[in-house]
Amino acid sequence: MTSPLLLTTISPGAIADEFLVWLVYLNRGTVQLQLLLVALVMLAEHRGILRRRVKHRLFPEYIRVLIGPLLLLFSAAAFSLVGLPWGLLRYFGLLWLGWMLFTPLKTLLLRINKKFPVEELESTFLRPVYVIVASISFVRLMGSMENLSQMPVANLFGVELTLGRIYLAIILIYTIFTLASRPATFLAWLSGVLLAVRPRNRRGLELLFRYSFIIIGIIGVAYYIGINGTAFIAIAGGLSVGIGFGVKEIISNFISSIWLLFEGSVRPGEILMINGDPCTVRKLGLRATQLKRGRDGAELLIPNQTFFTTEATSFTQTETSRRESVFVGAAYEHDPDIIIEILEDIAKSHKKVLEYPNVRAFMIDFADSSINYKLAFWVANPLDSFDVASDLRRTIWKRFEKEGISIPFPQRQVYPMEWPPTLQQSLHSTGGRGVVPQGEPPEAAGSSEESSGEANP
Amino acid sequence: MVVLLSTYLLAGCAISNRDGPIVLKVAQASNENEQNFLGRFESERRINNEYIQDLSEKQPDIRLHPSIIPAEKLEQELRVQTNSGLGPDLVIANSNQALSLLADGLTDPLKMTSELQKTISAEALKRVKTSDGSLAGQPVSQYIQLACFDKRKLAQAPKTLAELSSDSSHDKVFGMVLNMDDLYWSVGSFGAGEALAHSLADKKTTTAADKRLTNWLRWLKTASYQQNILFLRTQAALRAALISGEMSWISCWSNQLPQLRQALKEHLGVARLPDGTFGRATPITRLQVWALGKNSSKVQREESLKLMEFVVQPWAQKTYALKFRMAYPVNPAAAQIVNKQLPGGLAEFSEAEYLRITRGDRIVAAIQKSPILKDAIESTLSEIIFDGLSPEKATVQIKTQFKTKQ
Repeated sequence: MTSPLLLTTISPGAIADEFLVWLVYLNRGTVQLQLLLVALVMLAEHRGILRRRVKHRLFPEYIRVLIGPLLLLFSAAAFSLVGLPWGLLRYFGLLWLGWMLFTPLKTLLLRINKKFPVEELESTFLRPVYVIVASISFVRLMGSMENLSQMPVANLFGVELTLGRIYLAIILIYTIFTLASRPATFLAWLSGVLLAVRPRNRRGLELLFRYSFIIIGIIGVAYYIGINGTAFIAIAGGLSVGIGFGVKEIISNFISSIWLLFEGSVRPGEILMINGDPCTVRKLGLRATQLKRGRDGAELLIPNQTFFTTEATSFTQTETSRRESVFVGAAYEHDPDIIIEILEDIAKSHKKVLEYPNVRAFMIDFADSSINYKLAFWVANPLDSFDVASDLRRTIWKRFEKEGISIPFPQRQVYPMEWPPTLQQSLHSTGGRGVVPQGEPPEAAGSSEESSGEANP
Repeated sequence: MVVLLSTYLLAGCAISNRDGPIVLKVAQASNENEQNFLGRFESERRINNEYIQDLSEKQPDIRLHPSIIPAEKLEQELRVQTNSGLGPDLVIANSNQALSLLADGLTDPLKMTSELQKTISAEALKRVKTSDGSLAGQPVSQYIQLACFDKRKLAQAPKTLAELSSDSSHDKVFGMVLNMDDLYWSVGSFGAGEALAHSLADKKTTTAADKRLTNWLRWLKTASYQQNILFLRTQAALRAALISGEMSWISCWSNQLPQLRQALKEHLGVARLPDGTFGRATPITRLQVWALGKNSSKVQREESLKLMEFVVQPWAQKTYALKFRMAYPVNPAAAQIVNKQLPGGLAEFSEAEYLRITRGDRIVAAIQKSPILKDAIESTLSEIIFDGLSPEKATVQIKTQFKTKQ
């Protein structure tokens, strides 16, 4: 039935059979009585009957939610006193109490420390632990622990996998994924201290450590459940076929992420130009890189392989400072030397403009209406360049105003037109060379624009 | 929730409907002293399945649903289930465990008709009787300690300890388990049981009895000095060593024979354990007992009793003893029929053996009942075998441990 090189399900029916046998317990009056009581209390709680009766300011909502489970636990104690089986009442009472305790626990933790990552603790640790404990204790209560844990359900490359092993493997892999970041952070910090790794490189190192822990952990779990080296080779063979057909993109992105980490070109904290916008790398994931765009705070998810196949501009790869420029025009009547001096003076006086490399202003063009200048300066943080350029433009305007320097700009005069135009208008609009045919309206019906040359403000 | 519950209750009613077979939950204690052995229940599970399939054919009204529980967790697991009303209908355990479960209120005492009692060996029934005369369960079969050997390495099993010693000097490797359960067979060979039994009863021991105890301990020490006599921690380790060919002879239990047969096939030899200069070997037996769970419904209880009556009838006893060849029947009539057809060692077991094993059974039961005493005795045996403890000091130490029960 089982091929040594195939994943084959052996007996899902046996698992179903084990679960169905639990229904046999419903033949017993004491079991029915306990379940009925549990159902009644839960129903009363669901309809709010229990909480309505205990409305008092001394009992806040997060305490009143405990009434139902506590009632079940008291019932269990009463059953025990009169010699009736009580374990189911206690089990459901404790299960319910555990669930309801999350709320007061979170409130308490937040009161102690407002910055405590309660939500993360709840979703990554408390609730998974709760589910594991609840499921294991329920199976144990039903007396099926050994049967289910020893039940063979699949054959992976000749290795018989029992339900217990698979369940344990899932728990272990989840634990490894959840906790791998802690020792990785510690090791990255230690490397920083011992090997003088720069802080921005530490985050990349941390990810490398994390992936290493995960890979080692998964291999360890696989060995623990009995998958040996031969099976690994078989899995690798199977994967290579799978990669070729179905999961090429995923694997490509994953390999890209590892490569990028080793190369150090895309690390958390790095600033990259994406479509002309500076973006900070937040997280280098297995599939995609998460970036935050400085302009609007949008989070971008870019597949890792994109950084392999397309060009990316980095402002933090080897040096973080960035050169930015501001363009401005001044009227022909002003001395360019004075303008250049003013521009350099303005840039130098800004706090975020670096002293070195030097600020430079250039005269770059004799334009139609102005002499154009370029003010080039350097900032330490690429993300500041936009703000600094804006500051400088404002200061230039104010300074030019103060110094009486004008910034010329093209002006247009607009004349209303009649339709159909008079002969004089037609001759005027065609420069005296022709007439617009009758019945064909001009493109800008009802108006005509005429450049009147440039004027100083 | 209400809908769910109603569905379950309806399903429950359907199950109790007599149109279909009644499902009985059976909790079986694994008797193997094989802690942390991953596949320790594999063979038991396989035999269980065959046994259940056979029983289902003969008893179509009943469907058994077994679950194996490690012996060390039996009491704890049953307590959790019984307190919830989810306890098994039948508990299969050894006689000492059955008595302990009854004393803890985890099983119900059994009321057997005098007719049914006649179908079971009187000595076997004595082992499940409490001080007030109630029965902790019904004996069904018994497992015996034997010698298992590889016929390719050892033509014949040693009949005496002297032969064992002699064979070990000819490159034949012998293995035993270092605990009182598994070593008690050699106590009888030196007549050391009296000193142990008297100490347990807090009675004064004679000098001669003490000397015999010292002789037994000295033999253990001498055996440990021999290169080819090895003491291991578990039966599983011994069995693995015999299967892999590292050992020629091991002390084993009859319920482990199916695994050994499967591995060694026709090369497996089974024999009695060797006698000593003082007397015959005194292997203890593990009496398999079926006890009644506390939470059964009326119908489940009726069917459980019906099944229990069926399994001690001569036909069932004979059939299962011969089919699995791992246990000795408790029904004397069946025992007579199968005696000649059982493998060596098992066949040589007889009613008379009971008289000799009763003492050993009491001693082993006392050790199993007290984990502190068990640890203390195993520690002393370990010291005498692996460390420098003298047999004389070990005698005093063991007697004290038995007297103080720790």
